[in-house]
Formats: sequence, C-alpha cells, structure tokens
Amino acid sequence: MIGLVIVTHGRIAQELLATAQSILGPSKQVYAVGIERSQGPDDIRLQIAEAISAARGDGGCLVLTDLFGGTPTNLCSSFICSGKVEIVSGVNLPMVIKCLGLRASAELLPLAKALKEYGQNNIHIVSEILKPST
Amino acid sequence: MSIVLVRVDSRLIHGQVLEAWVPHTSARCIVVMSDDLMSSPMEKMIMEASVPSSIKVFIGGVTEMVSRFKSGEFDKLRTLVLFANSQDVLSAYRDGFIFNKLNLGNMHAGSGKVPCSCTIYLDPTDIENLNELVAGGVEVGSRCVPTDTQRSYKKMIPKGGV
Repeated sequence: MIGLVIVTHGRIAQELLATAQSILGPSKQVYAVGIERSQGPDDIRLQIAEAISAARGDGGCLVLTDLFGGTPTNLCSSFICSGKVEIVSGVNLPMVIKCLGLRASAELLPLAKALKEYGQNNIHIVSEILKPST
Repeated sequence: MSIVLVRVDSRLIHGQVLEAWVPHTSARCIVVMSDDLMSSPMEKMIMEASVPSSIKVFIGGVTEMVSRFKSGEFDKLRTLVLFANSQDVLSAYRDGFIFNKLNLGNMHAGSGKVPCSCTIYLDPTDIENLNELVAGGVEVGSRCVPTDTQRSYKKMIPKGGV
C-alpha cells in the first residue's frame, strides 16, 4: 500500500487527517506534520523524514502539502524520489478522502495525477451547480 | 542600486516572503545569497519555481552574489535580498555588499540559541555579527511580516543575555 503524509502550515495537516478519518474511519500508514512558526528548517526536515519513513509501504509514499512555494512544500521537495516519494501541493479535504480510498490499489505516480485532477475538479461555485428549478 | 529589503530568514523563499513582503515592497527581483542552499539542488530548484514569472529570481553563494551586485547586475531592479543566517549577512557585508537596513524575519531555534521572540532565536555569535553590522551603520530590526511593528533586536534580548 502507498503511505500518506500530509505536511502543512499550522495544524491544517492534523485536522485534515482527523476529519478525513472521522468520515472514513481509522487508517494505517498515515501521518500528519504541521509546522509551527517557531520551527527551523532542520527540525522540520527531520520530522518530515521520520513521517515518510514511518508511512512508507511497498507502494512508496505520497506527500500532500498545502502551499506551493511555502516551507512545507519546499522542504518536502528534497525527498522526491521516482516511484518512491511524490508530492502533490494544494491539499484539500476531497483529496485526502480520495487518497485514503484509492491508495490500497493504486501506483504512486498515477495516484498523484489522479489526486491533482480530483482536487481541482472538486472546487465549485456552488450557486452555479444549484440552479433553482423555475 | 535599488534594494527594497534585506532580510534574514532561515526559510529563505517561502510563503511570508512571496505573499507578504514581495507585494509590500513591490519587489521585482529576489536575490538569495546562501552557500548552504547551493548544496540542496532540489530545494533551490523548487524555490526558483515557486516565484511568479513576473519576478526575477537569482540564487547563488554569498561571494558570487556579492560580486554580481557589485557588477551592477541588479541596479535597475527593485530587489529583495534574502540570507539564511547572520553569518552570511556579515560575510556579504565584509565583502562589500552595501545596505542600510536589515530585517530579521525568521532565525530559528538551534543548539545554543536563546528565544528572543517566537521567530527569532539568537546565540552569542549572532549578537556579535549583528553588533558589527550596527557599528558599521546598519539599522537592524525584527519584523516577521509587514503588519508587525519593527522592534530593535537589542531590546528583544532576554535579561539574562544569550
């Protein structure tokens, strides 16, 4: 199975994971790393390394991060390894839920691509969908 | 030379810089002077990729970037300069990189570092480095994001010293 690590600013990672698990139930090989303002890069890098190595399964590890250009994504980037570790930035709750559902039977890069697409496709202006019938 | 901000930030290019300081200073160019980053090609690459295409970005070692500054390469650009630590700032200053003000943004915890605010941790070497800059006429203040009030680093040092 592919391991999942969520790395974000503040406590977004922990809350996304807790919320997804409250919907789907508990899951294994999942870790959340929320970085605080006071943490330095070396400290954060170590936390990310530990989470990836703990989550990682036969299928590798997918890392979901929040802001492209932010420290969580920047520091995760050095862990990218073809077939073993991929990162998708811009994490949202639909992506986390989808990832937990797909990862048991998916391969790493196709899973990353599917989540990128799924995350983007799940952003809606709700009023445009809810057209009242006249 | 058009330097709009010189900042110490152990995270270098990241959210606070791109989303808060670049708009606040109307910078058109980001220069990173860091020997350490040159040994992490992946992190260097992603930092370059994270900067919007309307902003130029140049990342290099301290000596190289100081000489590019001296050659006038950045004279016509509103430039935001980033250093990862006080030692790199002082090296650049001693090499002849001239600036009037230094912004302390994020200087994170490490062994021997004493907390001076939630994002500034200093050790005796940092204090010596900053004191040398101040003696040379550089105004050194701490301000993590533009909406913070600037504070003198000297007033932030805890009573027992560092």
